[in-house]
Amino acid sequence: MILSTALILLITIGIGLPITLLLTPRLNKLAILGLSYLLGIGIYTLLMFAGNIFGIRFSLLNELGLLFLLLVPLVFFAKRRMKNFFIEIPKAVKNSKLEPVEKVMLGVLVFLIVTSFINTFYWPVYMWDSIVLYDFRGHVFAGTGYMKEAFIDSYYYGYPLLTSLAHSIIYLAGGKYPQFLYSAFYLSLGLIFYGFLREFASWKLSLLFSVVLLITGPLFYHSLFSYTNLTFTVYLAMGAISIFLWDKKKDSGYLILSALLIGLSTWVRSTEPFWAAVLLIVFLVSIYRKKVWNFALYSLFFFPIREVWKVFQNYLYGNGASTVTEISGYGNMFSSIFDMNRWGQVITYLYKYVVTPWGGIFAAFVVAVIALFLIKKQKDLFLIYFIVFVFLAVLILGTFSFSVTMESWYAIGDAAERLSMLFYPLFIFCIALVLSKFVKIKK
Amino acid sequence: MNLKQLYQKPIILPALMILTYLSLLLETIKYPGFVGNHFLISAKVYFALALFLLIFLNTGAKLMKFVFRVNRILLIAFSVVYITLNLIEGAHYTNYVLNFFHLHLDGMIYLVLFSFLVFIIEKFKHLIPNSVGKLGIIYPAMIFSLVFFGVSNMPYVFDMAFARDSYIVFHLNSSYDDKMFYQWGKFYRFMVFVKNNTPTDSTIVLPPMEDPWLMGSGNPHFVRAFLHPRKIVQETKIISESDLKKYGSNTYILVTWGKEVCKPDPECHGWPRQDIPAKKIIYEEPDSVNAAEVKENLIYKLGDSKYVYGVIEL
Repeated sequence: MILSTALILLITIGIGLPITLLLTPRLNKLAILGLSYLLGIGIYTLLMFAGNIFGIRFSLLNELGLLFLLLVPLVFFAKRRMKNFFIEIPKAVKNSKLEPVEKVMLGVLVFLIVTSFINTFYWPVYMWDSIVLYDFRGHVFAGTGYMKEAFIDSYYYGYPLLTSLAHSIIYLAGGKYPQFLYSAFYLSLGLIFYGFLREFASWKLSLLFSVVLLITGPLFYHSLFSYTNLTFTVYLAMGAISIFLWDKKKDSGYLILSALLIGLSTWVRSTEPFWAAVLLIVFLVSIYRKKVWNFALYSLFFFPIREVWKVFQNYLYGNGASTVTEISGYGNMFSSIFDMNRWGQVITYLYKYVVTPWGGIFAAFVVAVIALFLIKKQKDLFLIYFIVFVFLAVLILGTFSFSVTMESWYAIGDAAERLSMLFYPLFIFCIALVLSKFVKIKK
Repeated sequence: MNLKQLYQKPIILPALMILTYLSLLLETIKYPGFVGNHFLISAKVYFALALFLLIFLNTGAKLMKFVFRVNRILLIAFSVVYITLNLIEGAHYTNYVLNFFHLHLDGMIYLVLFSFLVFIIEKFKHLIPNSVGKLGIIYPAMIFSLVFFGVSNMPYVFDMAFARDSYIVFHLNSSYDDKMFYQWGKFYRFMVFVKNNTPTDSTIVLPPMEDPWLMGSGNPHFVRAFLHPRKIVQETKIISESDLKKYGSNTYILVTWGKEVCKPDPECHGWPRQDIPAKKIIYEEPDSVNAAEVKENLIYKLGDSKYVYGVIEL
């Protein structure tokens, strides 16, 4: 396990860290660390995939070669920023004086994260979907060196390959327990969330809401095994919040960061159309700010990532849909749009499997929306709330579309529950921002 | 007397805390959810309401100071009992504590967390603003929603964490196979048995994907995950003569009883359900990955052996 863990760390520090530092050098250090893991593992698996298509066999030697091929120029370009980063981290730790309440919150976070890692280092892959699909592909890729052996039928190429290839890295390095990757996603979620919130709120409030996020039952539970839902949530939610940061800080680095994260979310799960919502938002913001080239910049980084898998999948299916036809495909549901009976079923379904599991956090979000208008901060925080509302619209319309196209849609409520996990970071971020404004009012 | 004055009565908060403690204790003994099922309001609501009022009400009264002192003792007591019982459960098996002590650990965690959170609020109450500008009820409503969210999630997360950690502490030397057996039971052993008794380039024939084999030996994706790179072929309940003739010499048919419920029970169990000329039949020893019986050059018949799992080599 030591070699595989070291390899993941090397990918994080050698690929993810320089890219993050090149894009967002002034971001909070903890968020940079979290993003380094997301970008490192995402981009590296994408290149492993591309390399394999061009005939480069999956083997430890080849993957190390690929890693150093990327690492050397990246580290060269970002060497000054990396040097500063490594100098500043120990300084920041040394200078931080924790109050008792902060020690308690940190204690809770450390307990949850350490527990997650203990469990994932201990248990092999054991959950059904992972054994049968995600981990199976990882095993076959590492065992045979190529992908075609794993694509026995269409079941095996229904989902993109980020997590499967990440498992392959572990197996190629001689490891048997790849689930710690998901604890690392959980840790990254906490770090990035904290760092992003820290850009707008106090250290205490950011820490408190990071605790609220990481004690969320479904997020912690999914950090213990190898499903794709947590990974998807981290990429998508953090990518969406990056759009808000881009608009607030007027820094294109955040826009590119968002394009990479949202693109990589489609490299984890490609069927859910939340990426289209982000694309729409970037388009609208670009028009509103009269900087249309921003949309082009976003597309430049987003589409290559998404299309690599779509093109490959379509090749395997023998037909399939391009992004344009996929978007137009959603138009098929318009014939049922006035079916009130169906709408009733969809609302009941969403209430039972989505709103009820959200529980108090959804209520707090609704209260936060009201508060936003009362404290007259609606203009200031409009974009982040708009993003959440557009995502909610995608969820409702997506479920409606699902109900039209799939007969047994009502029977798989747990899938909707797992998917709706991605709203936790967004709701909590919105609530924290409003509360941070409350605190300022109090002062 | 209006509602605000009522809440400010020094007895209200201690009374609510005692009620919460009693509700949570009752749920530890009966089952989590018992109070909600029998007394309309869930214990979680009392839990959240007590914390919420602790944040917003004045807790300077003498009675409250006494309550806080008692709470500190309870925090230590509940934590020690909960962790000890969790370790005992980890050393034995799931629900061991319920069987022997008749206590629900997933209910007891609420007691531990309630006393812990009361302690935390007692210590850091001064850091939380009591009201914000002209927001009126909006600010307390948001705090209550957040507290309720915490009360709904924290016990689940912490109980899961303690339970899993306790299990690991007592099973540090378990092998990969032990862990997979813990998760998948006899099915995992059967797969290891098949793996040990068939070559990697062989063809494995499975029963149909229906009860009683639906989620186990009749599911080709699931079986393939354990037996790859062997070729997996799915058959019907009765294998046609032509199919039987078509299979080459490196083909193995699973002998499998099936684990799911089916009707009529037990006649619906067991596969293959026809006579098959076999080069060799290897039966699996129950609760082991070893062969219990090997028969050569004979006709397989359902029910001919006392063993119900194995492979038929054609």
